[in-house]
Amino acid sequence: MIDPDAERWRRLTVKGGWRRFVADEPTQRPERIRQADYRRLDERSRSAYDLERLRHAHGFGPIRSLYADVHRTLERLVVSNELRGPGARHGAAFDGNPGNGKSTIVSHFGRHYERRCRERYPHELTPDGHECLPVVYVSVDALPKIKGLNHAILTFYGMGPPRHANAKQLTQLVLECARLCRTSLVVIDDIHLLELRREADRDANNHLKRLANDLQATFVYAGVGLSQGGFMHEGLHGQDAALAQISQRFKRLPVEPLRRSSQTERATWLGVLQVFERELVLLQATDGDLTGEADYLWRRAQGVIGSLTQLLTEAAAEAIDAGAERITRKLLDGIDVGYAAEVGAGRQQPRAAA
Amino acid sequence: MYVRRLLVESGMRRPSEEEIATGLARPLHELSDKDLFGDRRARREAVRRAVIADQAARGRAAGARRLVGIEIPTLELER
Repeated sequence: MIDPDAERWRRLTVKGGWRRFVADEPTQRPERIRQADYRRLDERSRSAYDLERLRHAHGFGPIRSLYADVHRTLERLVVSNELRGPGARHGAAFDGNPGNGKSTIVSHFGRHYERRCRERYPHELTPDGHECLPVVYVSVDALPKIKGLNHAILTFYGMGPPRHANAKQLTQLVLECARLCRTSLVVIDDIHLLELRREADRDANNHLKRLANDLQATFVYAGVGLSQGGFMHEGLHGQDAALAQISQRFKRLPVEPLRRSSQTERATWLGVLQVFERELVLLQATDGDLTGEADYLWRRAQGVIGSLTQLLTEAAAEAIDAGAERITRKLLDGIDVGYAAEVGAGRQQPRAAA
Repeated sequence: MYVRRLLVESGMRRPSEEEIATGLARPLHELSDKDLFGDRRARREAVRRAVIADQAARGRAAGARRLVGIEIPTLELER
């Protein structure tokens, strides 16, 4: 059953969900009690304690140190855009495979940015009486067109788009909403679904450029394979040059799996595991339970932070549920994570090509 | 050795340990059954398991060596 007061799932693509996400604080780590004290708890208290531990396992928040540098890059970009005159502003595009943390990076940048804006201007309404919404966060639907993208932005603002409005009218409405609500950061996730290489998609490319030109906002995109899929199109002549506008104006920021080739990379990987050791509250856990399995865990997750999180939170749930209260190699062996990570670790056969 | 020397001389980057490990496992996975016959299929599976076990053993040994003397940084969580 979902406890509405406790649940932390947020629909970020509507202003209400986004505002709650911005206001959310990380969960507080429950105190680790002694096993004997745990056994003495009545069933209700024990169940509440277990739930609190699980909630923290899922809610202790991403590891900021892993992306602090790119956040600084984005901050510089936003400040520079705020100071620029008219014309298209420069943006950033996060490019990487699923699970590497693109959405986490962009959503948390938006969260910090909005908090800073609200510190500077702590009013709900603009001087003109409109709702103040400094950040818009939208996710691209499959096979989107300009109308779909406009629709997604208007949905964020809580506007029911007019039924018979054409793409041009919707674009005007988007520009008006952004101006009145003083939006200065637009985050568009899953932008790879907006395939820009095909002839029919050139309108979408121009539309993105128009928004970037006409809004006094910084655009941040996140998507998979942007440098290969036509999004960061490289062209110098004719129509190709027109399509290359995004690659010229957008800084590509790759988001890759964690590596362990150099001493620094290994130290970071161990640091990540140490965070999990500290934050997963298990009564029989000892220091080194995870850092001692650093190579095994790397192979299982292939360095992908999303796979590691999935593996370790499931392992913590299993350790609590089964009463083992400790993450061991045997327990980890019994847990399957995403298919790609399992194939990478040699635990599943790759699907035969047709 | 000859091929390796040519590769090194041509300036090719030495692949990382992970790339070598996945590179070793991948061709074995990707062999199709129709390319194989009789007990070669069993042999392929045995080789695959041996390669994976060997990688795991080498990884553990190398991992243990690598961990010595590494100062683990304290990473900051999102606030």
